[in-house]
Amino acid sequence: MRLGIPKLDELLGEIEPGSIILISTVGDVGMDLVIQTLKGNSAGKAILVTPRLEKQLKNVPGLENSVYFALGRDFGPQELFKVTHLMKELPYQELIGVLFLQPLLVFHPPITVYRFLSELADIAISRNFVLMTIIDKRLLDERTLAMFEELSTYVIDITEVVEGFRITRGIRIKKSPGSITGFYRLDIEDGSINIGEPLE
Amino acid sequence: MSRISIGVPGLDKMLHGGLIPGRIYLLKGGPGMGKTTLSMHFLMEGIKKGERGLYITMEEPAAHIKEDMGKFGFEVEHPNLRIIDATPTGAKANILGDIRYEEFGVSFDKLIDGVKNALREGHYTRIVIDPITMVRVILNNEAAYRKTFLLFVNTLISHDATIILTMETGEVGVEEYLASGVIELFKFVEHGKVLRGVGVSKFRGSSFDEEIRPYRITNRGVEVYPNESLFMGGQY
Repeated sequence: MRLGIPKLDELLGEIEPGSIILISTVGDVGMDLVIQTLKGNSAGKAILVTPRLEKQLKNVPGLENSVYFALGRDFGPQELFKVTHLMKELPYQELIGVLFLQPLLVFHPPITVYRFLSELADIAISRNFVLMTIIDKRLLDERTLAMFEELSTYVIDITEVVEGFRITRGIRIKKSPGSITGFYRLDIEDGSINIGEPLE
Repeated sequence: MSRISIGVPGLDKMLHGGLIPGRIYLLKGGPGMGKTTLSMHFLMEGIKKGERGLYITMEEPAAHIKEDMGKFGFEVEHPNLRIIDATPTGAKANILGDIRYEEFGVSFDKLIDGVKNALREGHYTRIVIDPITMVRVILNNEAAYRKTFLLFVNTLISHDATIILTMETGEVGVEEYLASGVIELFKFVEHGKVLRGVGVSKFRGSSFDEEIRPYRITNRGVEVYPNESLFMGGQY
């Protein structure tokens, strides 16, 4: 699988089925990266979201028919077993699973979310699908973030630096079976992602 | 070793193939946890296979049991299922052979005799007594209860029937030591929501899944998720 973002594809190479991609970001930055990847991929999609995110994603052309599993509607935050059960039962041969970890971290201690992600990672490996997870790194301490990174095949790290009124965003490959990289400039405009020159 | 289905596929998986027939099992759980529903799954599974089932209710009136279990789709009026009302509010007519309810209240031996007669006459292969705890309440004498319970176990075992006795969570008595297996239904409250878990804590003659697995009570009865975990604070 490829993400459909030329510079990232160049840096990451072909992503093998069974891989876990962790996007470690700040707030909603990185959302467009996920949307672009999902839009550009013909595989089935199972997306674990909040109802607010579901509404947002369903308005994106190409994502209307994805399988949405909404927190609070299809499962309570306490009922994570329903999610693992669903992921095992999905009929797709080719699948991208997407998991937004933030809402779960509001309800559960990080160790529980880690165990849940670990279980999903095992399912991804046995069912041969790619699992993309997004985490707002501000919700985790360094040790916990390291645990989540250890579980992942790829870690895409997005950071923003505010100097006065100027915001600079950077993106790097922090973990990969291939090579890791330094930060590149990341610009997002109207949902379009542009990855520019390396940042000093 | 042969196995029989308990009637809930996920629980059969946790039992590594189902119950070993001809033995006594204890089903523990708090009120509303699904003990009666699970017991009915067990009886109806036998009935689907042409067996006969005997259900003795000692707490909930038979009429309520039939009404509630009927809603799950169980064929509670099936001719191979006999439901005996041995509750204080039930009819005071003869409930087992020539034994009256009042006699249950004074002697556990009468219950044993009644079940023995029923087994002889009805060829029941699956029996449920729900809850056995009620007998202890009636006898109100621990030593007498232990003695008669042992006699009861021996009597039942000699008839090759598979028996489920239900009891409340938290009680540890002679039943737990004498039963061949113990299945327990747990309730956890997480952020205001009830999560249900089922565990097998004892199963003589077989290996079993030692993890507590989630289950739900749906409009089809009890559904166990044998491949899933309860993600709870890193404990389960």
